[in-house]
Amino acid sequence: MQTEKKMRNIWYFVGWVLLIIGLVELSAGVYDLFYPSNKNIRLTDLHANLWWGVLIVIVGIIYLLKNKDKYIDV
Amino acid sequence: MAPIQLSVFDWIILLVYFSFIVWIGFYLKKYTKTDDDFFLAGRRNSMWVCGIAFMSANMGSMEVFGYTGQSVKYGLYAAHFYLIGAVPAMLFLGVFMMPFYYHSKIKSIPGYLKARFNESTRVFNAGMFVINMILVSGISLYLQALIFHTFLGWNWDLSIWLSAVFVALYVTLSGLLSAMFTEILQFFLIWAGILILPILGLVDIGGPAAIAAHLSEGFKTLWSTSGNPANNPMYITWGGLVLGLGFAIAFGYWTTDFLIIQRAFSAKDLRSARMTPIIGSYFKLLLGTVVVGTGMIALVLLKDPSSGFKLLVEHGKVNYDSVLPLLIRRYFNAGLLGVGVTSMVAMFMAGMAGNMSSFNAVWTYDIYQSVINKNATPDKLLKVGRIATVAGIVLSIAAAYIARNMPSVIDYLQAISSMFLAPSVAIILLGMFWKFITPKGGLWGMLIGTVVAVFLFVAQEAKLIPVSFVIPDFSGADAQSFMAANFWRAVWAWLIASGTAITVSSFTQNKSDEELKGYVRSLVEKDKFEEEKVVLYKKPEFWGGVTFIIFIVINIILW
Repeated sequence: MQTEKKMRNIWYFVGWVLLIIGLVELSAGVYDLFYPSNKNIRLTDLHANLWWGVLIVIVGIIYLLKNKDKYIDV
Repeated sequence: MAPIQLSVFDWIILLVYFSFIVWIGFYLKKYTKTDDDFFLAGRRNSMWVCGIAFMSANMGSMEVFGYTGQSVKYGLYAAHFYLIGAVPAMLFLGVFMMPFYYHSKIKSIPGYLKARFNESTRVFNAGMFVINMILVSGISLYLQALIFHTFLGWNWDLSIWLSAVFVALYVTLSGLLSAMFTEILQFFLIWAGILILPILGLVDIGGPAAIAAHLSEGFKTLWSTSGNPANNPMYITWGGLVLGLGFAIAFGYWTTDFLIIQRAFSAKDLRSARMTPIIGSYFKLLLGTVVVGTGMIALVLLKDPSSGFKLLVEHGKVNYDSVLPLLIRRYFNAGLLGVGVTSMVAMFMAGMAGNMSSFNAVWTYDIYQSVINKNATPDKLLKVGRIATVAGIVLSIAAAYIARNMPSVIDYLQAISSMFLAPSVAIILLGMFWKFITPKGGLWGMLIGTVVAVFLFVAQEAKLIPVSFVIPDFSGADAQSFMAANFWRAVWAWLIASGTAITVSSFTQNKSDEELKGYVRSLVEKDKFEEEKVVLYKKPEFWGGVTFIIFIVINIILW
């Protein structure tokens, strides 16, 4: 009941969205390792979707953990 | 051109994004009870929330797509829009102007004009602003539909309506609060989508050395070729860059455009409000590095026929706005493509939500409450704000369809709609720092300055006057440089607005010192502007100074 009047801060939501989007991108990167697709894309051998996905997941987790107990009084 | 095929991963990322922004509108609705909550996000935001929202409102599609294209056209000269065309004005806003704005408890820039001058100045400025917001928002919707239709094969009408309905939904529910929440989220998504682009591009072209090797001096330096306009791609001299872009245009946009300043007004205290544009200035420098860097990579690719990279050509005209989507198409595979497309959608929606949240505030306070219903209750204002958001979006959609049927009108509308900023800043700065300027002086200065700027532009486009008409002989700028003409026209608008204001003020009645207290620098009670005592590294002046040093160093290194 106490949290009803308190608003979650935005950084918490940023954490969630980055985590989810990063995980989807990371999954695409892993899938690409086994089933490479789209020959027209350049530099696919760098597997950018994989490591960029990992980076987004890490940033998401950091924001999520740092802000999981933070609320704004309104 | 065959449309880009999105994988199931890409669609999931888009779905996550759209679901979240709708959910956040509903989540925040219960915290949006008063008009202050709706229009100023409750004035409880931290400097980081305000600073990032401030920058996000500036990271609309027209800026990011547009300046990437400009970088292909003008090389490193496009970086001036991020350096002299941004940093000094942003710092001036944070260090000198914000205390006036914040402490006067005004709810909008026209609100300051009412307090400093009179009701007519406020209504004129507010009227220009709301028209500007509708036009910018409509053109942005049109460009979004154009990009998505061309690159993703999406239906025109669906692209326009989908974004408009989503923005309408979350801005109507919680006003500036949800606009700022989503802007912050969009800020991260935009970076997630564009930050990797120059990294992949540099790998592709063989590193930064390739840029130096392929481009001539005019394309890879900031100032060294600005002495003679024939030597640089923008055909401009340093005088036009400093006075036109650095002063008249940049100060007009960064210090008086309510669209971005509204975010600083929502800060919890004066220090946070002052830090807002200063935090923004760091991201502006980073954005400039990414956008201009990406454009220059595209320029190198275009110079190398074996790269297979070509810009879109429509009706025999090169579409420079196509650079960013073409590079996304070139490098982004499954998953990454979803982030890239989401990033593009976020740019469009961040820009439009910014337009609409400032439109509804100015309409409600400076037109509705000022002219139509002076006794409106806070509840009534909240209701009017919500209705104004929906009406603004419907008008934007109409503007988007007009732009679709008459694409050539876009260049004119964009130019005209931005022309009231130089006269506005001339009057606001004069009024803020010189109590001599009278209410009638302010009104006539703004009016005449705007009319002259629009007239000069229309006359130039109708070929009644040559492009060189507004460019002073001493500048030596190329007669055919439209960019030089834009910069110098802003200088004239500024000078004419100032001259008119001073002339009219010398024979018209001024307000009393009592009425001007708090709105003019010489009439400020010193203790009113005092902030909480903080250590040096927490002061806006300190961080503003650091940005300024970085700004100087970049200009010297890339001279």
